[in-house]
Amino acid sequence: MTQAQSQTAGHIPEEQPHVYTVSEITRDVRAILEAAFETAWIEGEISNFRMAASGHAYFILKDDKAQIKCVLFRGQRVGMKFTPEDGDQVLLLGRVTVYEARGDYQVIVEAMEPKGLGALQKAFEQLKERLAKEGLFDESRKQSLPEIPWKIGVVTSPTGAAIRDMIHVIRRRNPKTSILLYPAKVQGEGAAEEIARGIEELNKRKDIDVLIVGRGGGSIEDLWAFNEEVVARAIANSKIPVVSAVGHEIDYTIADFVADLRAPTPSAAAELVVPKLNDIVQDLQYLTHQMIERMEEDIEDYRERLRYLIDRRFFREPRQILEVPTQRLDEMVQRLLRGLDQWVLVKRGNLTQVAHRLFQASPQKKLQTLSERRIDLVARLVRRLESQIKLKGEKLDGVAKRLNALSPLNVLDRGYSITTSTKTEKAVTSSKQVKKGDSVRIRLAQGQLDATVDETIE
Amino acid sequence: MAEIKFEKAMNRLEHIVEELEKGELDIDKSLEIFEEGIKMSRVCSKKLNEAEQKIEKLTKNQKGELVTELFPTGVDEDTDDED
Repeated sequence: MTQAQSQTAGHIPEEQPHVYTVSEITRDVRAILEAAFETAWIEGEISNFRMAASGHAYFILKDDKAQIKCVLFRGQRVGMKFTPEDGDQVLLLGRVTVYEARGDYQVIVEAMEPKGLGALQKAFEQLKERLAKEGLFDESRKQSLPEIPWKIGVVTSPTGAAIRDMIHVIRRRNPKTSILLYPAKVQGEGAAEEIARGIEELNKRKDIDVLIVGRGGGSIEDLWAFNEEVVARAIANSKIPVVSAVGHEIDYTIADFVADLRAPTPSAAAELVVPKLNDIVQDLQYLTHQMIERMEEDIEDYRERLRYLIDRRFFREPRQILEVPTQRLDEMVQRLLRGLDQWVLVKRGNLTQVAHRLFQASPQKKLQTLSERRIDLVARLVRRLESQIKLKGEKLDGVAKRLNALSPLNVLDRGYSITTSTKTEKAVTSSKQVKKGDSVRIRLAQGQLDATVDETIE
Repeated sequence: MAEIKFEKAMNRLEHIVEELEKGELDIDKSLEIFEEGIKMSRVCSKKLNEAEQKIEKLTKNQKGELVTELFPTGVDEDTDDED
């Protein structure tokens, strides 16, 4: 057998064949290859990626059964969005050729993009790291949201669920809050640029208090615009506070990191941004009410001090005259209260009662004719007397005791009680302030009771 | 007088209530800030009264400028969608 083999191998055909030089055959192979694959799309995994000093990069593209050498020239590499690394799945467009000097066939890369989630994730991580280094995510950059926005700028799709949801929530919470939508594509080619443009355009206006930028949920590819640098930069440059609202509970987008506040969904963003109108009105009513009550107490205190003066033996006579200054106060308060919008007062009926009581408490009408000059004289007199009183602090203590007698706590002795919410520690004045099951504290003249609400009755 | 911002007015009102609650002011000063407080309260309620919800969108006109127009919301309970 070995003999037969060696004979065949040693056989020389009669016709002399063409003998290639190495260069010739390599050149022919190259010509055939280049003609067959002018350019080709190839997908695979990068390995042995290395950068030469020249700026060109060399790597091997492989799948589980084969591999090809690839060259990425500097010119092509610089324009690419991501930096390839070993293990990346990529799709590349290249020319198939032969590197004659080594006899290697190879692909010269014209364009390359990351393929699959792994590579997207990589682009994400790279951008995130870069922007973080630049300080774009720093807490110190975050702007605080306005407490009460009157007009909200929204950058999202005009046809998506996101804008519907937000309008719904904002309407429900606050029918005084306006919305200005910048309609933008939120996925696909050009989406990131449109979103960024929207943020910039809304920043040119003077009437926007806060921006919501987002879209409903989707796949990581659908949400990709919110991971683009151009969007991140627009958010970072926004003078108006930005809330990101990309509908995905688990993952963060780059936009989320740059935004002043991140909301998990568009609806949640609307909830976070817009306070309930009811709460605003109640705050205003509460403060106004408190202020009027304090003022009433001040006047009462003042009146008490005057009474104290009047009671002093040495100053019996011009009793009515002394009451004039308090009357002036009462009238002034009245005048001020009249200027208040009715609806600030309406909800707490007792506010108007307070005002009424102040008016009623004014002393005798006949003194109203007293001249301004005399009032001034009296006021001066009162002031002098007051300084005398101050010298006699112990007497003032007596006044304090009498004032104390007016304290609501003394009412408890007559069987009344004060109920406070355990949660808010505020006095409960309406059954609407508590719910069934809430715990309340009831303060009695002697001790207190902790109780649970069985039922609320309006 | 420049328009006082709602938030500023509320904050001022809150501050005035605190001042009055401390009770360290003489009656003249109390009355002075009370008067200011009433003004703040009025500013706020005026703003609340006057604020009207508008739901609009930006669109490009023929010249390519951005203009606002009503955004149709198609919500049933809304009766003033159309201008």
